[in-house]
Amino acid sequence: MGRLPGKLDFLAQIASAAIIAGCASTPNIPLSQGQVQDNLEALEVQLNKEAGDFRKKLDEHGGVYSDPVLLAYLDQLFRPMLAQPIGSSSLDFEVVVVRDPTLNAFTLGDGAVYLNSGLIAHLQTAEQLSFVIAHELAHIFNRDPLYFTHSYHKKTVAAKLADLMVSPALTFVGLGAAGAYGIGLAHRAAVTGYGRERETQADADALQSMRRLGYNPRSAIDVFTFFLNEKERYTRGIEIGFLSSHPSNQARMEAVEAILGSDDAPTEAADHEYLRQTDSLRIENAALNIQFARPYHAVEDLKAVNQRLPEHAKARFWLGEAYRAIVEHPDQLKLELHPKHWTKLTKPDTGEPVDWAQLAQEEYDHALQLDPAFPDTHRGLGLLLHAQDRHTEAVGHLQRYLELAPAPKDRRFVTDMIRRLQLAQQEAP
Amino acid sequence: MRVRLLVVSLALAAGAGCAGLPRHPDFKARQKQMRTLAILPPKVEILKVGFRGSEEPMNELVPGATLAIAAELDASFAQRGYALQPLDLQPQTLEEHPELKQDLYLVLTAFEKQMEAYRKKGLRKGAFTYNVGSTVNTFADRASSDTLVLLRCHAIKKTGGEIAKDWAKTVLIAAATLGNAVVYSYSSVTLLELAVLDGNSGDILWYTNNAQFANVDAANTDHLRKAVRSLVKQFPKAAPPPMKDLDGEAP
Repeated sequence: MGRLPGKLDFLAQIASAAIIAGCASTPNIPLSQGQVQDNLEALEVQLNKEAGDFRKKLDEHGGVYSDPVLLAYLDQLFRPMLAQPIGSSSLDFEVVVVRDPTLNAFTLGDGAVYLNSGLIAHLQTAEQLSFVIAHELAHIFNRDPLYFTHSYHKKTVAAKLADLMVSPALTFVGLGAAGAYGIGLAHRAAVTGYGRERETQADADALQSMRRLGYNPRSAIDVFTFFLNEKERYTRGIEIGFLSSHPSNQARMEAVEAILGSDDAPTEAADHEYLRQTDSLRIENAALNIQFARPYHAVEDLKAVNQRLPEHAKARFWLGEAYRAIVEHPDQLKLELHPKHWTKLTKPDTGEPVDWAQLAQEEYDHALQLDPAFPDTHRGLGLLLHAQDRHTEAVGHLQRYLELAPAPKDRRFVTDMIRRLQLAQQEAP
Repeated sequence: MRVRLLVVSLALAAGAGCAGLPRHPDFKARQKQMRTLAILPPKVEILKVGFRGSEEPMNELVPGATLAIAAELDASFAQRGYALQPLDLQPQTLEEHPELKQDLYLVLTAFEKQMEAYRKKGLRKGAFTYNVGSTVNTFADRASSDTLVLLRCHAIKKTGGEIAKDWAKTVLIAAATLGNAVVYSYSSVTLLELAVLDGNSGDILWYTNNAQFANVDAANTDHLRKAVRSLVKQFPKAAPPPMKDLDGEAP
């Protein structure tokens, strides 16, 4: 959880303590050991139904990313992790990529591992992602969603406090699973995690799984480091699921460090195959970040793409869009960034503050050099110039956009804007 | 949690209502040009609140409520002289065209965010210039209409236990304050928000809600229709067409 106000932070501590106190009263029967206790059978059926409903809603809202090439790549990482005996389970195991720019992953226990596009875009190597997948699979193998829900039901007061605690974060989720679809089980999984003991156990199981597959388990530390860094840089986007559940990221990282010891080799800085396979998603995720008022997240994603692929017109265009979003809504940047980071960018001790409009213009110009016939760049440039009251140039680019785009979905919007700009020009003294 | 949000929305929306109906600065001029409207599918959510504050969607009530609201919107706007352009966004159509579903979601989300920004402004409200973006063009094109109507319905129904708790609270608070403060909680509360959008620019031209009379039972379609009717009544009647449109020639 992010930096909560003092009172909420206090409540959060009570909530977590209360939830944790309720855990472990019923021993887990892992998936590999067959049926659950008789008194939990109905609950398991209900949870699987709830998980199915969630998946359906996610599909209905266009929340699932469906690029077959990326999915095949992820499946290749995912399948070998299923080697653990899973008894007579009839679960359908799969990886689902959620169109959500926040850094999150979760499972509802029905075999699906949900990975947010924001998480995949932010990680740098397949091994890092494997740790996350292995962690979520451990929850499924251990039936954590079932046993946690069982204890959660028994702790109504704690649950209410947890709800209160997580509500501020939910408003930032955008397309996020829990926020948009409001289904209880998903809410629990994505937001509150499955409690201290279960999360720690899942981390340990994930490390074992990584060792078994020949992955460097130290990648887990990289994952925790990403999340801790995120917390230092942003307020909007203090990611709420995978690593912010109980206990804290720092404590979990230390626990993982203790398991790893000093014999594991350092990780590689970058995995070019992983980055190549996920570039399209990274660009699309940047667009989602812009859509959900997280323009600086988009800037960081796209700068990473541009560093590797400096001549990628679409990435340049989207970077222009991210900068334009900051020009048009400077308040969004203030809400998104950690105050220290925001001050550093906008009110530096030395030198001039960042000129976002200039950066946007440069990226659009670069994109146009690479692909002069890409209509959307003209649209972006037109809107940027409009925001700067450069009406004549704006009209030129917007008209060019309409000429180049075969059947633009926003033809009415752009035509209306051209009409108004021309009217303003005529009325100007 | 969603109930808490609804309560906050109601309070803020009621406050917003005090300052008169929110209208875009160009509303008068644009309303004079309005002859046709297209109605987006109403967005309806109904929750049951239990004694301990549990929330459960009452999905079984949603189709009936949606149909009633849509029918009343059609009838009421027609009665005010507007020609309604058909806009087929039936569930089957949305299944066949997932991009429409996505666009509809984007328009609703943008609308929610804009209205949240409007409410947050509180008493510092300036000109009502809010915009849901260019995604509305999808529906304006599909309906061949420059104007779109959007309605959101958030309803809660309380269980018997929750109603009893409210009454107990009312008695206790009244006793503690020697009758100076009296809490009354309705067993059903429904917030309806109605907006008219410019299908070209995405501007929110006009907005109203029923926060001042929210004791509407969403399970009762007659209640819902009445509430919708009273909202639409606040919208100006269609201006008569220019003379040349009546007889084919300019006077």
